[in-house]
Amino acid sequence: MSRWGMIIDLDKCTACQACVVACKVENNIPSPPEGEALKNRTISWMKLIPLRSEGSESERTTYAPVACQHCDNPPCIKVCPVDATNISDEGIVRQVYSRCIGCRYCTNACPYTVRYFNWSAPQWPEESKSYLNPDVSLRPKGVVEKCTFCNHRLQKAKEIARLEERELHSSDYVPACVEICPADALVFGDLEDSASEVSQLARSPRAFRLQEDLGTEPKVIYLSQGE
Amino acid sequence: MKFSRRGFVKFSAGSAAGLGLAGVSLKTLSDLTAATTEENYPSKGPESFLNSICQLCPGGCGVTVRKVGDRVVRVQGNRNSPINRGGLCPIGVASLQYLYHPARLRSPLKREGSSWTKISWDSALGEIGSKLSSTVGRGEGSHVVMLSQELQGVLRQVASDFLGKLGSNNLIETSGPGDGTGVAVRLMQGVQSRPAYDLTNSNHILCIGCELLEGWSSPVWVMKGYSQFRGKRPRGRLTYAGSRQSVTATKADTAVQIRPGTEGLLALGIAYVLISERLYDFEFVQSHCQGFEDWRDENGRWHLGFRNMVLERYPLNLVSEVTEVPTERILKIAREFGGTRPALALAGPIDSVTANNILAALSVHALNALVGSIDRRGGVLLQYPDPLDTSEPAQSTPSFLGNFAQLLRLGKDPLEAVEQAFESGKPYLPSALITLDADPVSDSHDAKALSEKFQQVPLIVSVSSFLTATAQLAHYVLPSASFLESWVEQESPSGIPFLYHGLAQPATSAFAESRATGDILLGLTRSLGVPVSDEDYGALLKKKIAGLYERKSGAVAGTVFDQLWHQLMEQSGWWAPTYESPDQLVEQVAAKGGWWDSFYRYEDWSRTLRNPTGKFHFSVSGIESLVGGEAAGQLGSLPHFQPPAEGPASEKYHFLVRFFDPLVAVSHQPPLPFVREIAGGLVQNNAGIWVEINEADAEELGIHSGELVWVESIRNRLQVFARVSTGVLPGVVNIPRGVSGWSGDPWSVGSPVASATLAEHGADFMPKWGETRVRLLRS
Repeated sequence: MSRWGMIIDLDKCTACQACVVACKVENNIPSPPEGEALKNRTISWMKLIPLRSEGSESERTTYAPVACQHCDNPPCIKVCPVDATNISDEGIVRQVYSRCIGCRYCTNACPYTVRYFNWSAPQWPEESKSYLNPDVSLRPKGVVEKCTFCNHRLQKAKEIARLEERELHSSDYVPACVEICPADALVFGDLEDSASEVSQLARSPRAFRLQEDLGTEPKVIYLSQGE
Repeated sequence: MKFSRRGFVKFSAGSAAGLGLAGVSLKTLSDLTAATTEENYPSKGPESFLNSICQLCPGGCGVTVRKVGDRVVRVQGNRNSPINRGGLCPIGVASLQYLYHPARLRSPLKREGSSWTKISWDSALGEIGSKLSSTVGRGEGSHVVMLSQELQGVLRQVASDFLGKLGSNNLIETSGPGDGTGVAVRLMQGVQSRPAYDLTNSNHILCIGCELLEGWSSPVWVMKGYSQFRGKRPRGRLTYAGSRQSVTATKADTAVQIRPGTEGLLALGIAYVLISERLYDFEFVQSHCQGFEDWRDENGRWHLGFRNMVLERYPLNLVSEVTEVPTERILKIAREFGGTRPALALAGPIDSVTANNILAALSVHALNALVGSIDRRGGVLLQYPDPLDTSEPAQSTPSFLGNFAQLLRLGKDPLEAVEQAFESGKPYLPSALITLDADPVSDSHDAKALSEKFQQVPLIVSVSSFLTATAQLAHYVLPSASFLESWVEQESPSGIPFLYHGLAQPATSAFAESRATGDILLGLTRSLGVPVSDEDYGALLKKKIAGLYERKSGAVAGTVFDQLWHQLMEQSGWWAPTYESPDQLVEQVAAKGGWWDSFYRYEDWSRTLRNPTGKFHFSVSGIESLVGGEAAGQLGSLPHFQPPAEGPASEKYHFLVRFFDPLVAVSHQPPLPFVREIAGGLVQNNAGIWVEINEADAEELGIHSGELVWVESIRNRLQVFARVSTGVLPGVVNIPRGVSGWSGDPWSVGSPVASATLAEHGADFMPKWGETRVRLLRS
């Protein structure tokens, strides 16, 4: 069984946020009216945050893209009263919109603050509905959503592999953010496969996870900036 | 490296705030049903993929669009494009919002009083044609002016042919301020072509005022190159010196903050170390440079050389005092730069043509000569001329610009020359103005003044996809199609070290009645009633690309594997094209997204050092009047330091403001919602323009991050968001140059804020970008 994970190499990342926009396009996340943004109600499954690092020279700030960390031990699923969020056999932390009752326990439990509540129904100008991706369902008002590792791409890749009567290759399935990255800073693959690029990079001395001390065991692994 | 949990929580708390308690009712369930009903899903259809070339900035990235039925649902990077190899910047990804923008113009519009009337293409072109013809009849045809964004091959040809039929040479491409290194290359190497940068082969990149990762050159090509530069072994090192803690600064191995306007002095300080510690490339300087040692001209007159000037005038203690960089750090940077070859030094943009800016660019490029990085692997190269465009761009100076065109070769922003010409009314005011997918009013540092001047022009025709600030002043607005709806041609973008020529077919049908800009220009030409060919723009492009067949080198864009195979073949003296006829070539180029030739011959000095001496010149001619003529004495032609003429700190306006250009500002189009969201993404999700303030200054004024503050200069006051940071120098504030939203944007609220309107003016009406002072007031 695969265990999907992502590497984010901060030494290559240029903080351009192409991943942020590619995610919004792929997953049908609307641009909110400016007023909503001012209330901090923007939904952005992937977002860029400044990280203060304590380097050798002096304290400095760098930027890191942060999305759902797809923890192996996710605090969010433990608090969900209706099993609207759970973890798949392949390690993807899922969100089932039709079960979600909007209690937002999970958004508060998530130490990475990457879960978002739909304060209103998503809206697009009529013309802009043309670019909606038919592979991803639209979320109604009142449910929580978050990064799915583009799970719909995995389902599609599996279907194609099945029709072609072959095994699923690691390269068949890549989330939108990884696909677009202009600096090749994002790498995706199977952490169970010790020969895959992700597992090799995960063993790098530069590898670290966000808030490792919480024991959430994220499958998004960062490589620190520098040698 | 460790990340403090406190720091993480502090910065990420913003997005969690606001998720308080609110009632959840059964209504949620009914909303759920509503959202998942059939009517909210757009139509489906078979999936297909097509290639195009992004035109939202001059970067020239190949894109692949994913279509479902007739709809374009995704724009991603084209893996075959040698420029971006599958990567794409956020603006390219967001181009879907351009394509399906609710404010797209549907049909040609004609102004009637203060309102717009829809008219047909035939009537619009007919009326414009007869008005232009009568302008020619009055003998004012040569006074017609066309302002456009940067144009490519055939489009430039069609535009200048159209103007030629009217007797005008006023095609002005408002391409923005020049790249400092590019200007220095032209002056010091005596060449006309554009420079190219061998980023991936360089082992050390030194950015002095250059924002490498924020839209410099062709942005995605730079990011790809940066990634390889970091990923190779030994890993490439990046050093940054500038006045702002930019993205490039945060990504650098060594970053130093310097006093604004002292970039050139720092470069001279580094030169001091390279020379005094003999870290420079002896062989290159001796064989290929002129003006390094003191010299005598043919009249026997003695001239000071660069070496002695630097050693005598720029000792480290002086450089350190003025730049505010400790001596040890300058030493460290210089030793690293001199000790890691190949190394590359990059200067910032010439946002105003001042002695300080030009001399800084020359001083930085002098470092490239000192380490021998001229036309060598990992250094500053020179682009080959496009195989299909033999004409040099801008052979004649547009007569409309008159004397104001003089500084264009020194990197002056052409739009500023246009504004000066309008302001002075000399040599004349245009008899008609045509804007091509450009919005000079929004881009202007004084939109009000330029609008007033535009209103005096008897005929304005605006070719535009939106009713921009410029289009609102027009008499006729002709709706242009986006790049995804047109045939596209792309020449090698600035900075890339290989030849590229792109061609792409429309990815989808044109929106409503909009037409490709090339076809609109051809229509305008025909409306003049003069004989022209009846071919459309797409046919002209295909005909031109077929010319590549004769070249017998290069290849259709392909995968990295194809590229390596092709290079191997060429090195062994083979050339095996994938096509057998010109038609087949065109078909393949359009399908794959381009043609390219990666061949580059290093150390081709006869091509890259074109001064009469055949050498690199430390002392340049043609800048004497700018740097003070005779008064500058022997230093006149050498890259020396002249302090910026910043206004005196006054009681009232005590902050020096630095304007910067973030990556999201590289596009010349109205800001798209996704792009505006991420522009503010670093300011706690507040879209729009922001001001960066030093932590201590903010505390003194009682200003907090995320709050709205007034920024007031002698010219204007704007309300923007504050961003408090330790990465800002005390007494300095940083503001992105640009406009927050625009009046046609249904997502934005309030009127657009243009930060450039803060800039003080000089006596020549030009904005003093580096010298403006402001004060901050809490709202």
